[in-house]
This record gives sequence, C-alpha cells and structure tokens, in this order.
Amino acid sequence: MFRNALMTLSVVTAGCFCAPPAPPPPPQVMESPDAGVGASARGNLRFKGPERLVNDVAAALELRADQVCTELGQYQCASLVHNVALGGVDPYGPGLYEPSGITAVTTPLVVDRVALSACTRRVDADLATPQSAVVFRGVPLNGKKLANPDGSELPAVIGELTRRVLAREPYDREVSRYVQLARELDASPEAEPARAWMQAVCFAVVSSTESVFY
Amino acid sequence: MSLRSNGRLSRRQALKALSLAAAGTSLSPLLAGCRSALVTEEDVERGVRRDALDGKPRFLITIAAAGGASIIDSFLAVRASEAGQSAARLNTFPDSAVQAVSGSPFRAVRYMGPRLGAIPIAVNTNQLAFAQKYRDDMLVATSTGTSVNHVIAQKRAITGNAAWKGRTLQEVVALQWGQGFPLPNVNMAVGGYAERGTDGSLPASCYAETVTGPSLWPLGLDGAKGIRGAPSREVVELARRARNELDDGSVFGRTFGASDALTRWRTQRADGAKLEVQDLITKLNVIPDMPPQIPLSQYGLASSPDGARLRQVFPEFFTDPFEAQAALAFLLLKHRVSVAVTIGPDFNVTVGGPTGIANPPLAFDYSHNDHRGGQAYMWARILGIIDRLVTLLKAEPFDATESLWDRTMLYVATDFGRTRNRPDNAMEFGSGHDLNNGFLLMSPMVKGNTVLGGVDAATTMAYGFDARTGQAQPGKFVSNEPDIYSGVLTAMGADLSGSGLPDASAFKG
Repeated sequence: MFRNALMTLSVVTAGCFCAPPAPPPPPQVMESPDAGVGASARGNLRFKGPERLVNDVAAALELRADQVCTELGQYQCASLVHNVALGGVDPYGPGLYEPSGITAVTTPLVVDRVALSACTRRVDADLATPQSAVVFRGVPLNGKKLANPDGSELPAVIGELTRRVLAREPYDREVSRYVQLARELDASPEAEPARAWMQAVCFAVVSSTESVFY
Repeated sequence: MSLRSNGRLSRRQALKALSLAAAGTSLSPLLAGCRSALVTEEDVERGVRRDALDGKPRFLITIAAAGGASIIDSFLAVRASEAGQSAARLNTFPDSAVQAVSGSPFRAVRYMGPRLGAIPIAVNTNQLAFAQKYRDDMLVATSTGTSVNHVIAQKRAITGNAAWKGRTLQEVVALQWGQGFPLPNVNMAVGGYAERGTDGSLPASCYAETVTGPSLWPLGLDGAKGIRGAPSREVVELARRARNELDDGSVFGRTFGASDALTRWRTQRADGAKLEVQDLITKLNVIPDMPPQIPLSQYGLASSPDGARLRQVFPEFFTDPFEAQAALAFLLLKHRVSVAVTIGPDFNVTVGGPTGIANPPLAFDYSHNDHRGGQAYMWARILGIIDRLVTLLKAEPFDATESLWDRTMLYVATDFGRTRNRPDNAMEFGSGHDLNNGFLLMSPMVKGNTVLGGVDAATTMAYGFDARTGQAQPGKFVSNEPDIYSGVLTAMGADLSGSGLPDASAFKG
C-alpha cells in the first residue's frame, strides 16, 4: 500500500517536471497604425511617480513591491534612495512637502534601474523554475540560446508582457522589433543570449513611455 | 536727442524714442533667456559679457544657513561697552568675547557656555581663526529683508525677492555658465532654499536637480550599473534603442509626442546618457566598499578615487547629511557636473560629532530656546564646513593658472536675523525673527575684507549702504534684497543686461 502510494507520488512528480510549460496564449497582434493618429490637443500627461510606478511594475511582473528594486540589495529604490528623483516628496528630512511635478534629468535613469532590477528578478525566477514561470514560459532553449527566435513562442511571450504591463495586445511593429532584438542578441557575443533577450524585452516594455506616463 | 524749447520732444523724436524703447523691451527677454545664442561678436567686442565669456565657468556654492544666522552673533558683533545704556537689554557681548580681526573690519565671537539650551552639551566656539584665515576673501553686506516666515524668507534669500523675473541665483548661474554641464544646478538644501524660481521660461536644465540623500544619490546616475544579474551594457543599449524606436512610433507616442512631458522626457533621456558616459556613479560616490552594509564591489561598483580623501575631510559624512552634501558639492564642481550647488543643514537633530549632537533641532532657529548658544554652535558648524570645503577647492586646480576656489562664489544665505532684546544682562535667552541682518559672501571675486553697511551699536541694528559705491548709509533700514542678489551676480561677473537689477559694483573685487 505504502509502496503504491510512493510510486504514484513519484510518477506524478516526474510528470510535473517532464511536461514542458505551456507558453502564453498567442497574442491578437494589432496592425500598427499608419500616420493617421491624431495628436492630443491637450497633451496632459503625468509621470507615474514612485508609488504608482513600483506598484504597477510589481503587479505586472508578479513581484512583491519590495522586490522590485533595491540598491545594494538592501535600500529600497522608490521609497528611499530615488524617491525624489521619481517625483516623490521628503517632508521629514529636507522639508520637501510637494512633488516638483516634472521629471528631473536623473528620472529616466532611475526608471531604467527600477525596470532592469524588476525584470532581472522576474527572468531569474522564471528561468529557475520554468514550471511556475509567470511571463517567460514555454520558450524553448538550446543551451543558453533561444532554440527558435522565429518560432511562435516569442510573440506569445511578447504578448503576455504587453498585456501585463500596458494592458493591451501588442502591435505587429512591436512584435517584429522585439523578435529582431532576439536575432541581434543571438548573433552577438553575449554569453547567455536567451536570458539577455528576456531581460531586454522586459526592460524595454516596462521602461517605455507608455508604461511610465499616464 | 535735444528737447524743444518747451521741454517736450518733437513728434519725430517721440516716435524714435518709442521705437527704441519698444526694441529694447522686446529684445531684453530674448537676450536674457538665450544669451549664448544671441550674443554677437559685436557685443563681445563692446564688452558685453566680458567676464561671462572668458570661456571658463564660474561656480556658485550656496550655503543655506537655515533658521536665521545672525550677523551680530558673528562678524558684526557688538561689545557691551559700545552700546551704552542699552547694552544690558540688547544682544551685546562682554567686551572680551568680541575679538578684533587684525587689519580687518570684521569681528569674531568667542563663546563658552555650559549647555546648549536644554541639551546638556558644552558649547565652546571661537570664530577668530576662521576670520583671520579668510578675511581677504570675505565680504559682509548688511540687509533688511521682507519676511520673517522661514520658507518665504529662505526663497527670497535666493531670488532677491523676485528681483529678476523670480529666477533663483542658482538658476541664473546655471543659465550663464552651465552650458555643457550635465547637471548645472544641484540643490541639497531645505525648505525655501530648495524651491525653484518662478521664471518658467528658462531651459529645463537650469532648474535644480533635487538631492535629498547625497550618500546614495550617485547610484541613480547610471541606468544599469550596480544591478546584480543585469545584462551587459551592450544589451541594455540594444534594448534602449528598440524601446526608443517603438516609443516614437507608438500610438501613445504619436498621440502625446508633442506634450511638454514627453518632450522633456526625450531630452532627459539624452542628457542621462551623458551622465553614464562620464561614469559619475563612480566618480561622485563617496561611500566606501564596506560589506555587508555597503557591498559596493559585490554589485560591480566602486568608491570614487577621491572617496578616501573626502571621508577623511568629512568623517561624519555617514551620519551628518551636511558633511555628505559638502563632499558631494566638491565632487560636482571638480568633475564639471554642476556650476551651482546648494547645501545646508536641515531642521532635524543630527546625532554625531565630538559633542554627540552634530545639528541641534531647528538649526539656527534653535535660537528660540537658546539664542547665544544656538548661534555660536551653528556658526561654528557652518564655518567648519566652509573651511574644509574651501581648503579642498583651493587645492584643486581649475586649469594651469587657477584653482577651483579662484572661480567659486560662496554665498551664505540665511532666512533673516534675530530679535535684539534680552532680559537684563541675561547670557541665556531666546530670540525671535527679525528682518534686520547681514549676509556673508566669500570668494576671491568679491571685494574682500569689506563690510558694506554697518551696525548702530546703540541699537545693534544693521544699517544699509549704497550698492554702487559701497558708501555706508547710517539710518537706512529699508529692504535691500535685490542689492544682495545683484551683488552676488555682479561679483561673479554675470551678464546682467536686461535684468533691471540695481548696480551692485561695490561687491566686486
């Protein structure tokens, strides 16, 4: 009885590890718009600011907010080190009671740090446990390389990422550009081109203007 | 243009005068806002911007002495014997506490007290060594402000009460000398000193980059370095290129591409790349590699080549933000990152230093609790930072012929003065806010060893001066904020054409 149970458990467990993770559903790729897009007359855009930015990134990549970005592994980027650069306030120290309302020269760099930190963590987790991968699942690898940069899995991942970060389907121009990025990395001397592509495409989407302004 | 016999202009003369006036009115903002582009060779020949166009930058360090640094508790102190019958009820010092600075109009206060208000630390300060060392680079100008509200007065100390379209001194300096500097104007100060001016027409780079945590702030000067597991720089650049291409062509980009926010964002992305190229994340990083609290090397980072030296000069930089600010200010100038840097103590208690209290609560405003001890303690703090900063700047070559200090103006801005009355002969007393005060400027560019204005010993109130001639004007107690503002810029050799600022030639060395 006990042996049977053990055998059943081992079969189930083995089955879990052997089955390839399912890729995300294929995206409903939208046709890229032509030049006929109307410009906003008011152009009333706002930068997200530290809390909204981090919470959105955390939700999109299924990370805890405190996992999104830390400096030197221990100092929170958005709430402590780069809070003001991200448009926050610091009332208790310098008496900065109101946000400046405009982005600073260092803001894009800090956004890049936040995006890159979060994406690196997401990619690491997805590659470490592919069975429970959140974004980068079902991407066939050939060693450290993407097995098939022109396969259907990459558009599926791009679609998943775009839906999670931008709450829409990707445009065909975006899909083709990010696939091109995969080819560029595949041809580069990069030691781990598959990981690098995942980090790069995640970074590009998370730090895009559409992602950080509203 | 001569007048007619009835004293009026002819019609032709009037039209000519009006057209000249209109031309002058319409051109002046353009000249002010886009100077470098619009100043012609003829202007240069005529001497316009003679100083500003010597091809080299000049630097402004503003020390924001928050809370009200009283000039009569430092370089214009009054001896009891000079104040006559009022001495016991005014903020005068025992004669022995007010020391003469040889060959100088300045004075220096020596103060010893058993405690700092309710804080049980002894206060033992002496301003004499500082005044003797720097007298030839020091100018004190008396002042009368227009507000005793901290934040408002702080801002007016850097705008001259909106003397020039509401621009701060730092913004003017950034405009005049900041071209090509990645962060022309960096501000680490508090309250009104950290506010931007009200002239929204300046290039975005003129407005201050706010820094609240100088020790870790340099980590934000690179988008990728120091992130464990991050891809190589080449990969990041490929990703950025793809992102930027898609940004520009996306529906979002086309819809909002012309907005102020995205226009600024594109410029800032490009400017950020300049910061990365200079490796400022390393050059400006004072903190040491000290795992496990600060594991720089584990993250591919390193301390600045100047780090060890600066940590020696400012040993409390970890715990005292003012020291960390001073260290960063030096590096920002040294590496030609900024032309205007603002630093200063905040209103919080800072624990540390030889006495255990590096910064008393409310900084100079602790004078409400203990005027004399608070002023002495805070002046010592300010002068100590200045001394170390100037020493560093003097030792740092700007080029083959000048040091950084030779091209630096140090302006000790403060909110206002303090009330003068005290209980009879009290040595420990509290003071309030008063419009009447004075400012300390330090630079090889100022008319050194000079006091503009003076103090009426009978009242201890500072009287004014003629900002053009420097002539003292006893009995003048009217607001002169624009004079101080103009004086700082005039001494630096800024181009003030079209500004409408008063002639403040008396400040210039």
